[in-house]
Amino acid sequence: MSDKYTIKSQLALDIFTILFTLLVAVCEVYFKSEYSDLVVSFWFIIIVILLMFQSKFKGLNDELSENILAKTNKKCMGYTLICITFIGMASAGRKTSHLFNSPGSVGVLILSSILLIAILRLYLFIYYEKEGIYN
Amino acid sequence: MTILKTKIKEYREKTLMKQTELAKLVGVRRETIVHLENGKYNPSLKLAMDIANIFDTKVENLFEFIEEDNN
Repeated sequence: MSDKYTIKSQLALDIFTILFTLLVAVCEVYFKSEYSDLVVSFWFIIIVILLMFQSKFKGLNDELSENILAKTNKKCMGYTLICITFIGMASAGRKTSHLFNSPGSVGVLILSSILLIAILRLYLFIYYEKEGIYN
Repeated sequence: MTILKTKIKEYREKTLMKQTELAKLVGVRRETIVHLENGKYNPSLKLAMDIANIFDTKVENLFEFIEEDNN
C-alpha cells in the first residue's frame, strides 16, 4: 500500500469527481444539444477511470486517519441529511415547488449540495488532522 | 479533567530514532507519531504496546495521565 498518497488525496479526488458530474449535469439540463448522448458517454468513461484511480489514491490508512475520517464522516452525514431534507421539502411544497421548473434542476441542486459537503469533508479532515481529535 | 502525556519523544531521542523510522516500525504515518508526541491523540492499546515494545519498556513508562489544573 503506497503512503505517497493519503486520505486527503482521496477526498480531493472525490471532490473532483462530483464537480465533473455536476458540470455534465448542468450542461445536460441547461444547454441541450444534439451531442447529449456523446456527453453522457464521455462522462461515463471518465467516471470509470476516476473510480479506478480511487484505489491507487487510497494511501496508508492508520488508526488516526480512520478515527479522523470517522469523525468527519459523522458530521458530514448530519449535514447531508439536512440538505436532502430541505431539497425534498422545497421541491414537494406547494408554495416552493414552482422554483424547480424541471426534475433536472432538482438533480443539479442535489449535486451542488453534495459538492459542498464533499468540500466540507476535506476541510474538516484537514482541520482535525491539524488540531488532533483528543485532549 | 485528566490529559494524557507521553514520553515517546524522550525515548525516541535517546535511541536516536527519527519520527519516520518509528512510524514505519509500528505501521502508522509520521503524522500519527507527531500527534502522539504533542499529546493531541490518544492511541489504541495495541499501538501503545507496539511503541512500548520498540523501546523495550512498559506502557506505563511511556504514557501517564495528569490532572489538568483548571484554576
